[in-house]
Amino acid sequence: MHEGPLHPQFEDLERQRDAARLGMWAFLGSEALLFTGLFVLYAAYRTLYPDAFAAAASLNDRALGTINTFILLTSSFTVALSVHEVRLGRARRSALLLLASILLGFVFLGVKLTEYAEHFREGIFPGPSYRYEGLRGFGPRIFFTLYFLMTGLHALHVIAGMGMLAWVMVGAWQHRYSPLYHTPLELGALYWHLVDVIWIFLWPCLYLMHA
Amino acid sequence: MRHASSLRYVIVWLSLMGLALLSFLLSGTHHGAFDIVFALVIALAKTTLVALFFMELIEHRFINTMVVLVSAGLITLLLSLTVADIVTRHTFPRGPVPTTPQAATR
Repeated sequence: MHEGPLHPQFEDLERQRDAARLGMWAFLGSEALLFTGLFVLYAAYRTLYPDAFAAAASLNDRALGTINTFILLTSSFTVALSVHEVRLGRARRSALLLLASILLGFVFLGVKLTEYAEHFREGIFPGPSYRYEGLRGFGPRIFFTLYFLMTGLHALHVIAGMGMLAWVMVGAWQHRYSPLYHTPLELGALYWHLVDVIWIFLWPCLYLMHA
Repeated sequence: MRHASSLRYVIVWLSLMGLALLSFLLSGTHHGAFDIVFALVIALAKTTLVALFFMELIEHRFINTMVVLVSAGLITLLLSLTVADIVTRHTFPRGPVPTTPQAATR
C-alpha cells in the first residue's frame, strides 16, 4: 500500500498531514478575506442604495441562481464522498466521484455563462457601460459592477478548483493515494468546499434579496 | 482516526438542499427587513454544516478551528464597522453620489 512521501522535517505522516491541513486552512482564511473586501463594498453600497439594489437583484434569474446553488452543494457532497472513499481504500471510486464533481463544475460555469450572455444582450454591463433602460441611476450600475466582479472572481476560483480536482483525480485513478496517505486529495477537497461556501453567500446577496 | 459513515454525508447534503430550498421559498414571500436576516441566517447555517462535516472541522485539531474563528471575527469586524460608519455618519451623502463626467452626459 502506498504510504506517501514523508518529508525529513516530520516525525511521521500524521504530523505532516496536520501541518498541511493548518497551512491550507490559513490559505482558505486569506481567500475568505479577499472576498470579504467585495462583500464589504456590497454591504456599504446596499446600505446607501437599498431600493436600487433590491430592484437590480430582481433582474437576475432567481431560478438559474438556485439551480447553480444546488449544483455546487451537490458537487461539495461528491467531493466529500470522494475523500471518504479513498479512506476506505477505494481509490478508483474516489476518482470517479471527483470526475462527477468536475462535470458539475462545468455545468455551473455553463449556467453562469448563460446568465452573462442574457445580461449582455439586455445591455446590463458592468460600470459605465451599463445601458439597460429599465433601471437608471448609479445604484443599479454599482450593483452590476459588483455582481460581475464577485461572480467573475468566484468563477475563476471554480476553474482553479476544477484544475485542482482534476490533478488529484488522476492521482487517485493511478492509486497514488491510500487510506494512509491522501493529503493532496483532502486539501483539494477543502479548496472546493470553500468555493461552495463563497457561493452560499453570493447567492442570497445577488439573487434572493430582491424587490 | 475514526471516520464518519457515508450516511452522514448523505444526511448533511440533504439538509443543505433543504435549507437552500427554504431560502428560495422565503425569498418569494417578502418579510421586509427580515428578508436579509432570513437569507443570512440560512447561509450561516449552511456554511456551518459544510465546515463541520464536509470540511471535517469537527474531526480536525482545534488549531484549524482557531483559524476559522479568527477569520470569521475579522470578517465580522470589517463588515460591521464599515456599515456602522455609513449608517451613523450624518454628513455622508445619502443621495446620488456625484457622477463622472461621462456618466453625467449619458
